[in-house]
Amino acid sequence: MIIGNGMAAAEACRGLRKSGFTGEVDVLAPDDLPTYNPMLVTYYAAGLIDYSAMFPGGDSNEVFDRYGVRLHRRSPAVSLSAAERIVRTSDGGILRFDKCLIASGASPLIPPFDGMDSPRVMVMRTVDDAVRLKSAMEKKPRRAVVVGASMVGAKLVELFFRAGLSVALADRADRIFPLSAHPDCSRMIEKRLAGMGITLRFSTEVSRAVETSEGLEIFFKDDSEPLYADILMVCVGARANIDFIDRDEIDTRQGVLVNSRMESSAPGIYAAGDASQGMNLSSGVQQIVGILSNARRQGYTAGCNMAGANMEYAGELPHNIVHFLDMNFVGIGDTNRYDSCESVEEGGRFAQVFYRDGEICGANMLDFFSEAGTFKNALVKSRHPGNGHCDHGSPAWRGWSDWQNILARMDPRGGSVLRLRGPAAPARRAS
Amino acid sequence: MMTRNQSIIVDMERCVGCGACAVACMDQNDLLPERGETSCRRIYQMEYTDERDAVIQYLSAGCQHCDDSPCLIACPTGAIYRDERSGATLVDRDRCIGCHSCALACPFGTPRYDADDRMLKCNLCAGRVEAGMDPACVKACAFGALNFGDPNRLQDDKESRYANGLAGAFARTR
Repeated sequence: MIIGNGMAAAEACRGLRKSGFTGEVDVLAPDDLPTYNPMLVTYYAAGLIDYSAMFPGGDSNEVFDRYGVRLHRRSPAVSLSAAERIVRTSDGGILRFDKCLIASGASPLIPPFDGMDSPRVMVMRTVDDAVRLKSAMEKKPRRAVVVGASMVGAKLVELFFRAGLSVALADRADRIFPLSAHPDCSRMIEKRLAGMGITLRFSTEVSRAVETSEGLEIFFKDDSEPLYADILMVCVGARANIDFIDRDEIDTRQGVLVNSRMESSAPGIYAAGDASQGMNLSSGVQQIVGILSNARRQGYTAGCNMAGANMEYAGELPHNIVHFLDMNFVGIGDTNRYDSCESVEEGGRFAQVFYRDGEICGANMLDFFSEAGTFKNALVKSRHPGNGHCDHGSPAWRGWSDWQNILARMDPRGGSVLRLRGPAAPARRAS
Repeated sequence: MMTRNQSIIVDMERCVGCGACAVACMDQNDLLPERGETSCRRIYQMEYTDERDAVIQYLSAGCQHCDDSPCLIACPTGAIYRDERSGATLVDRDRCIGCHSCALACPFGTPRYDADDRMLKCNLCAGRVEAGMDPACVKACAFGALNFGDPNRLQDDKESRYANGLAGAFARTR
């Protein structure tokens, strides 16, 4: 039994079959849409991709057909009993299982405020959300306000700006990308946005939105000047879809707590993707790390283990890259809890590395993306040598095993210099 | 003819960081710096340090066409895919949305982007290989640091060379 039909669920099916499971698999889909990635919906709303491109696995649920599983469309789970081994669906169905994966994803959060029911107030997570915004854009709106200075928020600011709208970005935090950017980096991005004429309003929340002849009049809790908008986007985060779980049976916090095998506290019940709380390699505690690659690896690990394999997935380092308005922001690891940091600024490019207890714990990069992957993977490996990221199995890769000791950092002089700590590989000496 | 077991292998003990491979790659693939396009290979200088000493080593890094490609797993659109025949990790540029997720996934700093922000990457010079030639970067490497073929065979060859060298040295000491 797999609850959900997202990317984690699809990978779980692959893991199940690859590990030799030949039994029946039921997949519960909340709607009749094929598997899609929430990240793609802003691209569709912006007119950058076609409708069908939101479904990388194909438009006929080829993902699940390929693995010979039974897909139950429009059948979201309404309750799960770990003790009785049954799932009840919204249409009254009762399905029995031996093992179950909770891969039910997440839904957008909307902080309550007066006027939030207005059709001008929208969120951005699902295909329906994208269709709604695309339709609204066809009515030629003039002004938009985006609440939530997150990655999604940044992409929406870009969408509206490129469409010629007057745009404002607001957040209760004091800056853009508060979870993944250091204030220094946030300020640099904000300076660029302000230079484009984008209004920024931080450290406050929407108190109410009132429909007027000029559109929505949006008031803030700090009594600052109200903003007017034809569209108000709210993207302040997401919460795991786990309301159908009996929290006395399965340990949960924000999501279902899982170990490195993706097992929950209830025997035979697994979780993966945005509904699960696996290991955050940066903080060392279980947290939701809502990243596509994390969901896929978790789903695959869960599927293999449900089939009887013994696979572990150490966890993920939080990392984000967002390419918007001709800039490229990267956040890796922990950028807000550190002992010291150093930064490089050169030709408009910016990089900042953070240290905690003598070790690198995170980095920010602005227009420095070419270094980002090397840095992130080196950091992951330095934390957990031998975890899933390193285990590529390719003969060529094995020749590079000394990369496990890399602690790379940006070279203040520019160029590509990686400083390695540990025993040197055989090499010629510097003259 | 391209087969699944062929890769571009770098011998780090021979790489001098001259950059000829990067230039050859740009020439072969018509990559223009003025369009913001850079080579699919990248030259790193690495400094190994301890309290007493420092050692410098060079590395020509390119796409490793990993079996479990992190870029492929991170790609939200499925633009990055595995070519079943050659085993190469390739990109369908029409499906690329320029999100740069692959840049953050790749441990080797390989992904590049054109002026339209679509990903550019090494395709193992499929055209050249099909015509019976080595990839351009391998052909250009004057020091034998880059080789193309079955990685296991290349490793065997390297070990044989060492074994022969050791045997010769041993014989000379007698």
